[in-house]
Amino acid sequence: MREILRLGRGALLLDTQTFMELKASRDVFEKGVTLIVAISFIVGIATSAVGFIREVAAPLPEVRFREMRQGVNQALDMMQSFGGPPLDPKMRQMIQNYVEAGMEIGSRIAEIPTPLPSPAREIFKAIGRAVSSPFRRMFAWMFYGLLVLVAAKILGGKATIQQMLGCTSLYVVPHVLDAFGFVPCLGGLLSLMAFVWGIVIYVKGVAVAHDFGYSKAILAFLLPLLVPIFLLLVLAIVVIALVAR
Amino acid sequence: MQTIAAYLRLCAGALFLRDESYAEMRDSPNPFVRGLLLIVIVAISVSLVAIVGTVLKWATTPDFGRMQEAVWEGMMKMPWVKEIPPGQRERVLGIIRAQYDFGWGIAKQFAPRPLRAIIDVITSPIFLVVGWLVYGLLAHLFAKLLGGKARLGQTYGCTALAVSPRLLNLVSLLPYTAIGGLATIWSLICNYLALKNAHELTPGRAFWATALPILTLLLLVVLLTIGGGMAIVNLIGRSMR
Repeated sequence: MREILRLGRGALLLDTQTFMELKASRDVFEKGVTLIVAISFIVGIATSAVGFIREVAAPLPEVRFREMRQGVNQALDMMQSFGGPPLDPKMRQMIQNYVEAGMEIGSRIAEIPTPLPSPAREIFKAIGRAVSSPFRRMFAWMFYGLLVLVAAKILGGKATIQQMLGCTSLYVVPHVLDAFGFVPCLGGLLSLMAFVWGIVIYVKGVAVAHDFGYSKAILAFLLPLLVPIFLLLVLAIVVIALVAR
Repeated sequence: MQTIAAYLRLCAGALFLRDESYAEMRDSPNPFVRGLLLIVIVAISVSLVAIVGTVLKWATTPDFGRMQEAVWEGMMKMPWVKEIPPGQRERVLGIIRAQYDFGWGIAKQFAPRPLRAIIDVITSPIFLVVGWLVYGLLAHLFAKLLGGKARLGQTYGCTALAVSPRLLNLVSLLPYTAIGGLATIWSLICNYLALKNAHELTPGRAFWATALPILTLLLLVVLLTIGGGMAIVNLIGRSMR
């Protein structure tokens, strides 16, 4: 635990020594996995708990439906007040009928009994979300990591696959701020900050793992994004040229 | 019991990409049998655990047949039904119903089915072993072409360790959990290390030895699909004449 905290602190401060020690460590990949699982799990628990509380504390279906009806009526009124064409009463009625039918379908599905009572589903879903959250992040980390590794090798990189994945795993540390994603406005800003900070740490990880300067590390980081964009552009130009003939 | 513990230790080492685990498998007396046993143990363990998760998911999911009827009845109350001319309504609704039922037929394949989870205990090890045999053979051929030194049994033993990430599926004990494509990509990395260690290849050659079997299989699937499609078009063409 102390080791993980020390790694986290070093990553946040972009401390080269921390990156170097991690790279030299025998179990560099294992440490990376532990870090990603720990942080994703913290974030997953926080977001799942908030989602579960919101679901449990949500108003009764009748109240929700009433709010939905009001929302649709307000949206239709706003369309006109913002200078849109006057809505035909028949059309308005038809939209309302569709909304009513949709809500009826929703309520009928919600009424279908299940062998276990309904709260069990919400509890299992919340647990499922929390448990699955590290896997999503790990997939993205490994998938992109492999692409960056190939790019870095082309640029003359020296890291092993374990060192590459281990060093870049530190990008996850600022993402602990994602746990506050539920806070209105501030949550989004914190997530944006974590994203940018994470990219900086990732580039540093690539640089240390491959003994690169920052320009090469940035290029290796961007190549997996730039290559498909470039290929798409070429394809688009070829298609346009063919159509123009 | 001791054997299972030893296999789990080996799996953990392979999962955390420790080169010594792959070397241990390569140097073991009978790597092929060890690899085969490892795959069967992992596949059966994961499938057994998945039964619990599937039953819990089934027990908390509304019946798909009743959902299908609820949605249809709701759709029938929508204004568009009245827009259909009365003379054609029955025929049009019949066509729509057939397509609607077809769509639900596909959706029902994704519904939690405890019986299918039980059958998976038998089918899952078979599929995994077949996949391993095919991939292992192709990987061995390409590794040898690239200067590899291992025997076929050693290639099979080491690539069997790539099944370790499938152990992540043990989380399916809990319903509504998903590991997505993580096990696949992690297995790919394990295969790379397996071939690198078994054949003592350079990283670049190990990369190609890992990727070429997949590319070959993909090419085969594409060619078979195109061939199959052309054969069907030909058959239809002949029957139309």
